[in-house]
Amino acid sequence: MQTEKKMRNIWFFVGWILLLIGLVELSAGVYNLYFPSDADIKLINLHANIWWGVIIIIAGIVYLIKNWNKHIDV
Amino acid sequence: MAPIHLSIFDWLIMLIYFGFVVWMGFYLKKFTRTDEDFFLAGRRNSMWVCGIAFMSANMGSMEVIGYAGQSVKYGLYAAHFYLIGAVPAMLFLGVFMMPFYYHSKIKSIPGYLKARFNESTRVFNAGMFVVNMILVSGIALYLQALIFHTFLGWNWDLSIWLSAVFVALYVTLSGLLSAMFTEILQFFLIWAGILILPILGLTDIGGPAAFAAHLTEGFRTLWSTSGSPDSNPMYITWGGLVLGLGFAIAFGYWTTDFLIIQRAFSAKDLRSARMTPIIGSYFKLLLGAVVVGTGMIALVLLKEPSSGFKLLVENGKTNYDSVLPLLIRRYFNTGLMGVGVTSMVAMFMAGMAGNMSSFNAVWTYDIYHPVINKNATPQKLLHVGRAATIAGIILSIAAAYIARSMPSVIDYLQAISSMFLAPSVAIIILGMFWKFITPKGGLWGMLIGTLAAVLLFVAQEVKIISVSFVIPDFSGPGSQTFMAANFWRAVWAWLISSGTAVIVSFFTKNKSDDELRGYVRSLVDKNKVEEPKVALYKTPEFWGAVTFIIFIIINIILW
Repeated sequence: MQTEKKMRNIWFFVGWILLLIGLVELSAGVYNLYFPSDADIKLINLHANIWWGVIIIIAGIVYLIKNWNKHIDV
Repeated sequence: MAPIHLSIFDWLIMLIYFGFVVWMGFYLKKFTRTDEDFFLAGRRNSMWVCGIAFMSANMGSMEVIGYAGQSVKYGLYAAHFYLIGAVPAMLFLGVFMMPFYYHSKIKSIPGYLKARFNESTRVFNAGMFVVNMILVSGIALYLQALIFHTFLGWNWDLSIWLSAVFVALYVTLSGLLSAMFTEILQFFLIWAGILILPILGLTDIGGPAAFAAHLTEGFRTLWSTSGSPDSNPMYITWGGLVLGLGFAIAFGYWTTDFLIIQRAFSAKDLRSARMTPIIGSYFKLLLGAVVVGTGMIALVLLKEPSSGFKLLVENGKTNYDSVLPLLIRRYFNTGLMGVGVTSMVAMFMAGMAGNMSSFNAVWTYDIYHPVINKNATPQKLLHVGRAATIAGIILSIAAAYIARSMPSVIDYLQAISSMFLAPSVAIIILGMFWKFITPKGGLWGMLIGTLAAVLLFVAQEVKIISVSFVIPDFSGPGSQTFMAANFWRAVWAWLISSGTAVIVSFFTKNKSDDELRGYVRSLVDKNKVEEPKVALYKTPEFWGAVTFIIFIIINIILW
């Protein structure tokens, strides 16, 4: 039987997953600037992967900062 | 159709998601010590955790991918599933019903039926529930495999087994706790994948003005064409919408379906439990805007030949479920595609984990414990819950393969669910608000109501009765009244269940007031359900009223 008493807040993990996914998406967007995709994608000129990636990164950072040291007693 | 090519960035996003989900199952296992931890996530969650998990359990693939397709079929009428088909029932649950559920310390909805009526009512309801869960989960697995096979070129068997194994892993490790925590991660990923779709879609079609330019009134209004079934794409009147969808089906799903209510039971206190569906109602409205909006964008694209947008047609039949994946394919570039595909995987897994975590609780508490092993210890129940998860997933996989060999089964899913839910809610609400209803009244009401719904459905399918027998204001081609028939069948099931329960109660013995105390509104100890005083703006009533006002305004604007 494990004896852990403090559990990490779920919002902390939400922050991490959003940050990581946002970073990969942004990287893909930057990569596409130099090596454009040849797939038939509409509105490709909007570079949605860049600005949507940035929005997801910001959301992730906000969740991480707000929940960095928060734990739940169990 | 050529499969979508995924880049290394897209695969990396999926890898991050799967890695997180599995790791979380192992992390949370350390905190899952008792059966209550496993089945009710320890009853220690905040209103936001419960509210988001509550909505996420509702954001399965059929609700998102399925209703985007329904929006192409029915236009703005599909929004009724998010408005009258959700909001009033969610608010009723939070404001009026949750205090009974929460304070009675029941562990499941069938558990309430045992306390209010008797063991037979509980076992009947639990039996129907577990069968329904396996069917829903199996069909969702099949749909997932269908979409991944068609759009990504993935192998059928791999698509079915991959998600099933991952869900089995994390739900078996820590039950509802990991189901809820991963549902929250999935909730954010689903939004990350779908929230951007209507933004890009609206840009593509030239803004909301395109709806008025391309769609007839029946497809772009909520009520103005509901006076006659001939005038709207759903072939329904406002009476069928209000009574069938808004009352029988919505209350059946939102107030008695343990799959979603289980999340509220895990709340740390009554106020959090009551706020759970109310928080959910805000996200439900937003989800409706995104899903129906996306479907209607597809509808405009379909009306505009120069867009080049076409739905998938298989064996001469249009596949409406292809709308969302096709739009993702149309607009999502590298990286964004990974988020879109992960979002679809998350929908399937959230739905399946929800099905399995409620399946294992009802099987263990309402069938295994009272019928098979009355003396089971809490530790034994924990083991049975874990084993039930594995068994439930194996049965779901079997159901998925059956659905693959008989795809028409899927058409009947909604009909099956409505047959089961309407009698349940009729008996639960009668029992909760009227102490006159006896245990035998409850049992027979539920049995006869379910039987009547099944008979009506079968008789209509084999053409013993005509569609007009089920739909009182019938009009239009019989082949297109499937949804209207579902709504009206639920109304009849509700009425027959309620009528039977009342008649039987006249002739059978009731429980004493002491036995009913806490389970019927007139016999509730006011001190027990009273919540600590909080400021008005923190009360469920306040936030429920705000949602209701928003709901009314939306209905007026889109009338």
